Order: sequence, then C-alpha cells, then structure tokens
Amino acid sequence: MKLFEDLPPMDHLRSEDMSLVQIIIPVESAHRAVSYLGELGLLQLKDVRNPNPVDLIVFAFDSHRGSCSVFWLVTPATKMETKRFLLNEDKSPFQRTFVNQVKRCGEMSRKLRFFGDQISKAGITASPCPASQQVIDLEELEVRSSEHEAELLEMNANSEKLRQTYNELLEFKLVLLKAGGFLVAAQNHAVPPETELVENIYSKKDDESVFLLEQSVQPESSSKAGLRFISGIICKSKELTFERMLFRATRGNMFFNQAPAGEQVMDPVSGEMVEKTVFVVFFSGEQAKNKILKICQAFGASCYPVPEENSKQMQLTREVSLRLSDLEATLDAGNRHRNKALASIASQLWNWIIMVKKEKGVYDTLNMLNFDVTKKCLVGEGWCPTFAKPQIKEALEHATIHSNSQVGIIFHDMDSFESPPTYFRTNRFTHAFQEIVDAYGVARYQEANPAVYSVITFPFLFAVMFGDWGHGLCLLLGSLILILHEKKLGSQKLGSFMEMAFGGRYVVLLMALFSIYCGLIYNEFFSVPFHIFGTSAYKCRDSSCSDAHTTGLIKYRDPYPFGVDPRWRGSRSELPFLNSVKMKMSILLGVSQMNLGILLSYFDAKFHGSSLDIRYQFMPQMIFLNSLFGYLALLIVIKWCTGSQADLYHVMIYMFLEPTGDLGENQLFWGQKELQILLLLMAIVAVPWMLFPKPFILRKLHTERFQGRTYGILGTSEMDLDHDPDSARRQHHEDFNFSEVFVHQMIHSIEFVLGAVSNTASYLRLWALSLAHSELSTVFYEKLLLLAWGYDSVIIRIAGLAVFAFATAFILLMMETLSAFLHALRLHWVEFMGKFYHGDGYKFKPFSFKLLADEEN
Amino acid sequence: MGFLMTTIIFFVVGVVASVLVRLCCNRGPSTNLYVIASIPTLSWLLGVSWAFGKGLCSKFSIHSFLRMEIHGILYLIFWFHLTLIITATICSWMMWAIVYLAQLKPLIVPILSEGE
Repeated sequence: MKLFEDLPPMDHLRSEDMSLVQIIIPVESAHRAVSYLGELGLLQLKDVRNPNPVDLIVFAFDSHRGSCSVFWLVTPATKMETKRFLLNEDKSPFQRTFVNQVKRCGEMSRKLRFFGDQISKAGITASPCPASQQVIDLEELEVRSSEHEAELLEMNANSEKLRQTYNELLEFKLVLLKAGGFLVAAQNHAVPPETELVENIYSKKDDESVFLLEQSVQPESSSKAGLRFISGIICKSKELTFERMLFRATRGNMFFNQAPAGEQVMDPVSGEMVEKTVFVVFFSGEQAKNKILKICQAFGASCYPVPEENSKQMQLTREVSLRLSDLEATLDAGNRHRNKALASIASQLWNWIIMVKKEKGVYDTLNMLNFDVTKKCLVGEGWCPTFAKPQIKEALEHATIHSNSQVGIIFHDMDSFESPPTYFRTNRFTHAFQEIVDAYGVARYQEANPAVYSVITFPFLFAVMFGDWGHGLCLLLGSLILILHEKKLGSQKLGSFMEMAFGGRYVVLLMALFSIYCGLIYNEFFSVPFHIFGTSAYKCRDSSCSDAHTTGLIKYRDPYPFGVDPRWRGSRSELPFLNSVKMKMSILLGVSQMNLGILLSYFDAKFHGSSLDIRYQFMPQMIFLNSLFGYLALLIVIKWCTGSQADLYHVMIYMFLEPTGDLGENQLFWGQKELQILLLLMAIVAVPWMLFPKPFILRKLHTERFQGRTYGILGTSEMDLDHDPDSARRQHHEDFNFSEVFVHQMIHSIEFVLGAVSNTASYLRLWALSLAHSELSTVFYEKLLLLAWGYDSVIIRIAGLAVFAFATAFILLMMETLSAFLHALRLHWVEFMGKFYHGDGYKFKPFSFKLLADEEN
Repeated sequence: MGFLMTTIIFFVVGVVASVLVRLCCNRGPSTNLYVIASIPTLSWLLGVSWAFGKGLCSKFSIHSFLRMEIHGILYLIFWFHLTLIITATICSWMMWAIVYLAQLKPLIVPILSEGE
C-alpha cells in the first residue's frame, strides 16, 4: 500500500489547499494594491472591522539608511489598547474617507443607470466600438457624468413642456374645427327662434356644406338672446357621464352638442393616445356657467374659447396651425439633439459602468480592511489558494513599485481554526458538473468531490433512462450547435432558458453521446430496431414458421453480440423480457453506484486519518449492503449465466423468513443455503457494529484528551482566554455531549439500514423511465408516422410526418430529457452522495474584477 | 468466448482512449513521465490481452514487468482525465455485459404478434 501513498493527489477530487493570509498595506499603495488583487482574482478578504489582533506589527523606519525594518511585537498591553481603539471606528477620519468614496461611486452608478434608462427609452442601440473608448479618470468621469445628467434633465424638462403646449394647441385646433361647425349650425337654426334646437352630429362632409351655406345667411348673434356657450374637449369614455352630469346640474337648461375629434390626442395624465370628443354646451345665466366650469374641471375636460364669427375662427385656426407646425419642428430638433447626446454616451457607457463597478468594489474591499494604530497602513485577512501565493506576492510588489511607496506590503500566513472555503479549479467543461453538485451542497474543505465521478455517471444514468440513438443524435446536434457557437453566444445576453441550455452544453454533449451508446444497446432508433451487429439469434422452429405466434422462435446461436436482439421488438413477449432485463439492470447499476459511494467514504476517512470511521462505519456499511444487495446482484448474474428458473424474489424473502428452509428448485449453486445463513448473520451483526462502538470510543478518546482540564488552568492576567476567540492559543474545551453523539450515530445507522432497501428500490426508476420513453417512442412511431404513411396522399403523409416531428421534439426531446435529467440528478444527490458527502462547506468567492463584470452581464 | 473477447476489446479501447487523451491534453505535471510510462504499459497490456485471447498462458515473466510498470500504471490512474475514461469504460462495459448476459440463456423467447 505504500505505492498508493507516493502518488500525486488526483486533481479535482479535493479542494485546493487554502491558506489564511494577512496583508498589511501602507496607505499610499492601498488603492493600487487592491486593484491589482482584483485583477488577479485569487484572494477572498474577510471583513475584519473588529479583529482581535494577536500579533502587532510595528514599523521601524530607519531615517539614516532610508530603509524600513519590520519586526513582530507581541505585547499584551498594546494589544488591549489597539483593541479598544479599533473598536471605536466611528472616531476614525480615515475610515470615513472610504465611505465617502463608496457613496461617490454609488452616485455615479446611479447616474450611469439613468443614462442607460434614457438610452433604452429613446431606442438607441450603440455597440461600443473599442477604438472610440478613451481611458479616463474616475474624477473626470464624475464631472462628465454630472454634466451629462444636468444636460439630459434639462432637455427632458424642456421637451416635456413643449409637448404639453403642443398637445394643448392640438386640442384647441380640434375644438376650433368642430365647435365652429356647431356654432354656425346653431346660428343657422336660430333664424326661426321658436324652432327647437336639434342635436346634430356632423361629419366632415357636413362641415364643408355648412361653410358654403353660411355665406348666404346673415346669422343673428345668438348671444343677444343671453345664450352663451362653452366649448372644449373631453375623453370619449367620460363623455356620456359628463353630459348627464351637466344635464342634472343645470336642471336640463342646457343644450349639449358633441362630435368626435377625429384624431387621437395624447392624454396629459396617462401619456397614452386616446380618443377625444369635442363638445359645445349652450347655457344661460352666470350660475350655470360656474357650475358647468366646475364640472368641466372635475371631469378633466379642457375648455377653449371659440370666437363666434366664422372669420375669426378661420383666422384663429390658421394661427394655431402655424404655431403647431413650429412646435413640431422645435420638438423634432430637440429630440434629435438629445438622441445625439445619448448616442455619444451610449458608446462609452459600458466602459464607464465597468470602471465605476471596479472602483466601488475596490473601495468596498478597502472598507473591509482595518488600520493599524500608527494609522499608516491597512490590515486585512483573507483566504487564498496556496498555489496562488507567489502570484499575489508579485502583484503586491508591483503595486508597491508603481505607487512609489517606501514601504513594502507585508503578506504572510496565519493560523486559523475556522474551516477554509472550498475551491475547485474548474474549466468550462467541468464547471457545469461542479455547479450541479454544488446545487446540492458545497463540499466541505478537503472532502471528496463527487463531481469527479458525476461527470461520467450522471450522463450515463440519464442515457439509461433515455436510450434511443435517434433521439441521442438530435441531442448531439443541439449540443454541437451550442458548442460551436460558444464564443458568439457567450458574449451575448441570452434569455433565461437559453442561458441554462448554453451553460450546460457540455453536459448535454455527454448525455447525447451516452444516449447514442445506450440506444445502440437497447437497439432503438426512434423505436425502430436495426440489424447493425449481425443477424438475430432467433429463428423459427421450422421453415413454415407456423408456431411463431404461439410458442415463439428458438435461439439457435450465440446471443446477439451487441445489445438487445432486434427480433424482440414488436413481439408479444417483448415487455416481459425487457422488463425483467431492465429491472435487474437497475439493481446492478444501483448496487455498483452505492458501493462506489461507500468506497469514497473510505477514501475520505483515510485522508483525514480517521481510523474510527473506517473500522466502525465503512466496514459495517460495506458488509451490510453487500451481504444483502450485493448478494442479490450476484444471484442475478448467476441466474443469467446458468439459465436457472429460480425465483429471486422468493429466494430473497425466504432468506429472511426461513433461512434454514430447503431451497428446492430455487437453488442456484451448491452451498447456497449455508452462504445465505452466513450473510444474514453478517448483516445482523453489522447493524450494532455501526451503531454502538463509535460513540463509546469517542467518549473515551475525549476523556483521555481532556483528562487534566477539569482542574482549571493557571493563567496570567494577560492571557484572555475567554475573550480571544481567534487566538492561536485558544483551548478547545468543548463539552462532550454523549447522548447527542449517540443519537446522531443512531440516526445515521438507521438512515443507512433503511436507506439500503429504499435506495436500492429507488434505482428501479431507471427501468421505469426507460420503459416510458420506449413506449412513448413506439406509440408515436406506430400511431402517427406509420399510420400516416399507410395512406397514399402526400398531404396526409406530410401532415403525419409534421405531427410526428412535433411530438418527438416537444414530448420526447424536451419533456423526457428534463424528466430523465431530474431523475438522474436525484439518484446522484440522494442515493450516491448520501453515502459519503457532507456538503456543508462554503464556496471560495474571491475579490475579482472579472466576476464583477460577469455579474453586470 | 464472445463475452470474454468483447470484454477485452472494451479494456483495450479504454486504455487506448486514456493514452490518446493524455497525449492530446497534456496539461498536468510530469506529463512526460506519463507518456514514457504509458508506452511500455500499453505494449505490455496488448501483449497480455493477445496471449489471453488466444487461450494461451503467457509464458514470459510478467512479474518483472509488473514491478516496473505497476507504479507507472498507478500514476496513470490518479489523474482526472484518466478517471473519466476509466469510469466511462466501466459504465459502458457494464451496460453491454448486463444486456449480453441476460440474453445468454433466456427463459422466454420472442412470440411474434399477429401483425408480423
């Protein structure tokens, strides 16, 4: 076994080695250092606003030599002072500087978001061309963005005002046009005063005829009779209620005339184009006038004065039209000017947003650091992968050089009792699989990573449930399209569904490849079998094939070399045979995967040097699972190899019910009864073996370790044991709660024992889904395609083909894919990972500009 | 016999695929070691499988080869791409073997339906 210990560790199996580091940055290089660290993206800083400084660094600046020497100083006295000082962060003006910077960045990003909104509202899409992107400073950006914002706000306000005026004038014009018509008609009708005024609804044609008529008639001014009018415009929807209200308010002493305005006008309240109606209300008396005006106000009707004389009306209409065209021109010019300004912003906007985000990130990070009592440097703690330490050191050196700082940045390891974050270096292929595993739980630090095996077993189990090489080819095509257009699709913004599909393109590729393989094994191409690997192993008993439909064919040679014999498809005994095969296959695959899971728990225990776990957890678990279900798997293989007619259900059940009973015709091999008794005893022994010893041994170990501690420690007044949770000298005196540990172990054992049965049965979903897929596929093929093909008409054939394609694409390719994906996922998460995985770690989230840019996307 | 032959074919395909993958994607440390170790290993494996397939007992001393090559093989095993290839080979082989064994001595035969 020494051979195994010399070997390099497998990458991806366990998290990268992480170290807790402390960095001490002098003020002048702080911003630059953090920016460079952001570019590198390999350090996750902790928020150390209130640290408990264990070690204190003192800078000793030697003025004679112009150099700086650093030495460690651990002085309890100064530590207390520092702690007290650092806790009073409100008093520090230095800290406040960064808060202001963060606020500045927040304000700038608000302005940039405002620009983005305006640009999208105006419908401008400017792709950023790299040539025109200038590199500008943050201060310059601040100034420019405030200028732009003021300019845009002013332009918006102006155009708003102009638009309002335009709308009013438009309404006035409409009122003039329509109301003028009423008034003329009213004057016409007023010639015989006794005649009742009749409501008329005018069309444009009538208007023209009215104008012609009025030249011959000398109208009497209707105002001489004390009759006055109010003209205005109101929303069409409110018109009826308005009229009724007016009628009631004036007790019927009014005459209401209305006509549709003809064109849509923008409603000032809602900003939408609405249908409006022009109205004229004839009334007499001052009180009536007031009432009418109030009602107009309440209903939001705008009243416009229309002169009675026709000539004045015409003149007014002309003036209004002129003004309207002027306003239109002004509005257009204003819009063009604004769009030009927005376009110039749009080309730079993305760059600016990223820059502001980066700066904000840098200042947020600087806020996470804390400062030393000398107020000359910032102290921070963080996690970084051990392999990245040289790179980080180099980046910090560059920062020192570029900021012309006299003092170098200190970067050193620290001890920690906290569990480090988990970091797996994934590439674009393994990233999706790692995400799938992390969705269940992020691996504990240095725990075995199931993603290593899931890369293959997950698509494989999917394929067992999906097995059809025709459908597999379709999936392959889809995944290849996504992979070949990787660069283009990666830079675009995709919808949520497309993004998921694109993110999982390599998963789909593997799923497709395995589906093709399993399809060849099941011998299904859109449910049609092929004779790719030679002729069938079955033939008729005699040349007339008379009893082929009653007693069936016979097997005359070796089994079909690869996959299911094509003769099975369509036969009456197909389902009994395939069901039996697939159920047994599910059990075999399930037992294998669960054994792999338990084996991984062994490797974990070995890595962490926990022989307790190996002896009292791994071994009884292996024995229990394999003496029951491993034995079942063995029986299955023996039954297949010998062709025995033994009933395996009977064997398994009576192994428990009647272990000493005679097996009779269910005997598969010599010594089976004795072996079964032995296995049963081993399984029974394994249960208390995994339940009892571990808690007792843990208690014994704990008492041995902390034997002397109950006497108490002679501590000095300077050693603050209770108040230094992060101190490297902390004593781990945790109480050992035996009942808690015992209950935990009991739950774990019961879960395993009951889970052994239920998890094995759970793998039968491999059979269930593959049966469903096969049957659906058969139904679509036989009842859609073959049926349509049976007709001579081309139209019916094409229609049948189209429906078949549609059904295959949506039901089989989408729904079944998702379904098989989900079930394969469940099998991994529960049945496989439940055997060894804890998944209670946390992910490594470094401060990285690249991640910020991705977030913005 | 067909079962054994096909099993060996799976094995050989797995080995070939693993060698090819490492030659194509040599990003890991001490790749040269793997390449160097793989060539005699591969020839050894091919030799053994040829001899086995012919039903002959291998006469040359594999024991000495074993000592030299097993270390090389184990270096091969503990690399990520190799794990993938091995897992894939084992899964594919299991699938094939299960379906093959199930058809070895079947208890029922195809009974054709009326339409055929």
